[in-house]
Amino acid sequence: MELIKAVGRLLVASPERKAEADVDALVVQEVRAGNVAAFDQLVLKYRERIYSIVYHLTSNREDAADLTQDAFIKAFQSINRFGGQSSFFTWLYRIAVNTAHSHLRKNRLRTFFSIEQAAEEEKTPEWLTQLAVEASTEKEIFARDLKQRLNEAFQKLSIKHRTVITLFEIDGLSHAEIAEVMGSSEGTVRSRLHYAKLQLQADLQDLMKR
Amino acid sequence: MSTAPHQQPPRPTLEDLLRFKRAERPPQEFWTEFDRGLRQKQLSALMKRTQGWARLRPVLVHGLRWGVPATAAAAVALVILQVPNGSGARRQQQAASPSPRPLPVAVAEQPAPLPVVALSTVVAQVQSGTSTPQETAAVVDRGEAQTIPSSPQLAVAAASEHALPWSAATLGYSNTSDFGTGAFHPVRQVAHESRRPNSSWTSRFTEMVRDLSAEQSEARVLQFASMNLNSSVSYASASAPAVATQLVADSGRNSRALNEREFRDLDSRFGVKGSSVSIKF
Repeated sequence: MELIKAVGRLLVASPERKAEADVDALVVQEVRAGNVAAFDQLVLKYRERIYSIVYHLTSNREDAADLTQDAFIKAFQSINRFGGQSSFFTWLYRIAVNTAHSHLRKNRLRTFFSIEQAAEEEKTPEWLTQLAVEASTEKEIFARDLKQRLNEAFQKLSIKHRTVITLFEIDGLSHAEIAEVMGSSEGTVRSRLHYAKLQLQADLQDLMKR
Repeated sequence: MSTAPHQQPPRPTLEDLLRFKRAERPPQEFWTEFDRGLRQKQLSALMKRTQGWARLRPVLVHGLRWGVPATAAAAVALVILQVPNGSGARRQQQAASPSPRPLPVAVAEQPAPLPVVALSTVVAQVQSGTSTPQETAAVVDRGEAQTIPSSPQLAVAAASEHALPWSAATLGYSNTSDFGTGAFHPVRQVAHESRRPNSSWTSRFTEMVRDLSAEQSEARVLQFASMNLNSSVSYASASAPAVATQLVADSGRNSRALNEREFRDLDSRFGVKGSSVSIKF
């Protein structure tokens, strides 16, 4: 079964992905050799993608920032245990998704709050306050409202459905790559993706009818 | 051409909404703060790791200092206990080995009676003319004409092909005189072998007593040792029928229990079984 999955990965993986994986393997070897600064290359390369995934899972920027940093710390601490069975990119994604899932399970009752509400608190970061100030025009108000509605719809999905649609629609991963990250089959990924889209269509129906 | 004043904008699809969500990006200042926070977390993680190792180090060192020698000593002790010592293994082998096959004893057998033709019957046949003298001679030559044994012991000894010449049952043959001609007769052989010098009996007897197993009771050994060798021989020969009777009686009770408290020395011709004694001539 593992052999079939490995072969499937080779067939599905695009040339760009393969080249990316090769470069990452070299950097990982350097980090293992003791060149800690080489890990910063991996952070710069993947931080936006990891942050995007975590943010769309949590719908909270502050939590997303903390969780993204935690994911990179965990990857750095366990870099020696990276066996190379999958690409570094998939392995890092798996750590980030699991970290986000753990956070969501711990904070089930917590709901996301809008940028405007966050700006009213004293301990919000400066960039968040500035973002709230910038969203003053009508167009931006509409954009903010749309983002909020989308986040609400995403939060209504289960963690697994939310993960699948985030990885597929937001990050552009293939079905095989999503299956590898989540540790499930491609069929499961497809069915979850289909169900998640149906749910989102039902929740955002009023936006699409306007 | 005039445009419709109230033209409806295109309805956004789910794909459009998702694309809009995909385009959502934080500003550059966000990443400056992100890098700073990540560096702080890396340093704190390294500090925790160092402290954790520093706490464990003395425990591990102490454990290694005493644990390794203790483990090695336990392993050595286990090996020593597992390896069987020579004497113990030898004893086990002796116990496991089967007891030597007991020698067949004629007295223990109840053989099937052979067709004994009484000489008197043969003579009577010749006289009556039912058989010719040649036939009678042939019968005698073949050894089929035998005297009817005066005692059951003799019949046992004569009938058994496996009877040892020195078996106790043959003790009663000293007074027999009627023998078949030209044929093996155990009584005759016993009588022939009885003419051995008795000077070797002393040494044989001494060896036998010395080699008696520890299981033999002291009383039996002392009893036998107290007997004068010559007197023991004459006793055996004089009371041979009685001894033989006793031995036959014993054979009925302990037919094949030869492995119990039995000692038999082939060279010295003495045998002790239970409370009975056998002498070989």
